[in-house]
Amino acid sequence: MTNEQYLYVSYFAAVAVGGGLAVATAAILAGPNRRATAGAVARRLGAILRRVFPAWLILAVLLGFMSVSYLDCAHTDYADVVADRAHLVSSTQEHLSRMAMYLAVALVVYGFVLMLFLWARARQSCKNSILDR
Amino acid sequence: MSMLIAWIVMAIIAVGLAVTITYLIRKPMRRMLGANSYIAPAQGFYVRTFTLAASLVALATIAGRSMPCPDQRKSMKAMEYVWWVMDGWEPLFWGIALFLIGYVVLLTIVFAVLGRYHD
Repeated sequence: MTNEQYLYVSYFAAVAVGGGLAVATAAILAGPNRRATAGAVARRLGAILRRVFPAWLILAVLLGFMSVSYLDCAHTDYADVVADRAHLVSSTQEHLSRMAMYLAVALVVYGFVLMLFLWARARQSCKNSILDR
Repeated sequence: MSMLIAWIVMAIIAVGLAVTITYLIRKPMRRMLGANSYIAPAQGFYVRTFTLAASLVALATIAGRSMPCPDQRKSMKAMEYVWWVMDGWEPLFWGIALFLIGYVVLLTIVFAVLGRYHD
């Protein structure tokens, strides 16, 4: 495989792996996310969160992918990049590493947003129970 | 071939570390998140997110580990592979440690905000 072929294959394979990872993560967490955001109180907000969740994960992975550049001080143009196989390999590794890291951070940030949702729901249901009395 | 073995050893160590930490934390986390009916529905989400995110951080750390150049690899001795694996431990532990503290902060906020409500 030539370096240029390797660049094409590794670039698109990395995007596919990252996208697959995000979709798999969203699928694994879909059930618990549904259970956490279900209920009569704050129903619409829960529905928004459920729809936003997979998109948020996919965007985080793409952001991680795009945060890596093939160009640097030692590789200033396309010819330099393609000529250096070791640089292509390390860039692919960097892509995978950043995508996984951004996905992990996105999960923790979503956990924080979910906490705000649960808080809003708890306040709402407390208010409702006071009004019912 | 030896480089592949070294990389697999590192991957096993990284995932093993993430699984061990998850195993140790899982039970108390479940108990804490079952404190009242306001947090309980999110119990499954937070526990599963912890497992996934810990594994992702571990894999991210080892995926980003630079490999020796092919010329260098030809002359590498067995001990140099061991050094390469051991050198990877520092960023791995750093990554896991930072993730752990970040998640503990998140859980503390969750409990501080929602734990005061009573059923």
